[in-house]
Amino acid sequence: MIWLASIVLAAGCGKRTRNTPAPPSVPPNPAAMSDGTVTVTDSRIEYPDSGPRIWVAEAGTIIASAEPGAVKMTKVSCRLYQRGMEVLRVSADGGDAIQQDGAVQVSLAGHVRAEDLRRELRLTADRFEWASQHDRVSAVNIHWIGLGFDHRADRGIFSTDLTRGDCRGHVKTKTTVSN
Amino acid sequence: MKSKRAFLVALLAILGAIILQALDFAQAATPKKVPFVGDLSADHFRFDTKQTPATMTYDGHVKLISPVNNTSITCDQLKTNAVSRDEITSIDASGHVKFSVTTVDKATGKPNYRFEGAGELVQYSLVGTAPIVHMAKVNGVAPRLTMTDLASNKQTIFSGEEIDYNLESGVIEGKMVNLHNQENGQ
Repeated sequence: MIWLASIVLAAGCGKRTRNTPAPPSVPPNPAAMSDGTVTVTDSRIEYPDSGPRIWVAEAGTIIASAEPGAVKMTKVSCRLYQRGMEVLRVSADGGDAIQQDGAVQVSLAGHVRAEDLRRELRLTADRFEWASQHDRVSAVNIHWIGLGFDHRADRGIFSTDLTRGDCRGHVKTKTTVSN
Repeated sequence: MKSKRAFLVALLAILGAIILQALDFAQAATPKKVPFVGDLSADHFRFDTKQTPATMTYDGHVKLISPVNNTSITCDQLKTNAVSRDEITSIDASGHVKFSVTTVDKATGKPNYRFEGAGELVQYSLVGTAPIVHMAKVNGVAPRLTMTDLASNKQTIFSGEEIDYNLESGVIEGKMVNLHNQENGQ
């Protein structure tokens, strides 16, 4: 239940979906459903609670399911970390995440857009999956832009910082005048 | 005193001239970076911008089209050392390579020669400031380069162990090269 507590605590400004909104100074009670899920709106997740950070997510809605460490999100913006350093920012219409044993797996879908911190490399995709322990992003219907190149492919696997990639299916590269 | 000052001035002038010449030489020795412009398609693509040198590798049904010298290349694998679009200094194409390049007369601005090549290995690289196309015999398959004079339609066909074509000077060098002249289509 530590993971659930971390979501609820992080959701300091969250709104409950079912109960009457609490006063701002009081941490909100999440809306607990009969199936054991908990929904919090306008919320933030940070993982882990201590040690090098792996990810931070802000979402319009976060639904924590009964499965330990599992959340569903809508209108999500994430920050992904490597060795405690932020390397990538990603936004999407929605997705799932599992936070367990010091690792995070994230699956996002719909208008996925990722950008490195220097804003030199950008990836857009229909689907995006990240496995923190493998430093690996896999994406579907990808469009990678950076360093004067514009790459498209059916699918691709990338390092979290987008500096390495392996793309397959209808690969097309165009040169661009500027990034 | 005057002669000492004159000596010092002369010495400084000589040193200055030596430094300027050294800078000129250093600039000439640095490969000219020509921005790459074009489209590529393939079945598979890998890149690593952190590796030194950086790599971009295309595999399977590779096709490159570039407006620079009206270039087209088809092959099984194409590898570049691209760090960015502006810093490609070598392209290696291998496996069933076919390419076509059209050069332009610098004085008139009109196309003057078309080069069509075929082979198992074609390498493009900047040697000093000169872009060189190098073709080599691989697995018993000798490279073949057909040069068409677009004014007369006359063709010269080169085949051999190795063929180097300097795109800047227009000089073709080779090893064990056979030469064959013909009218186009004959």
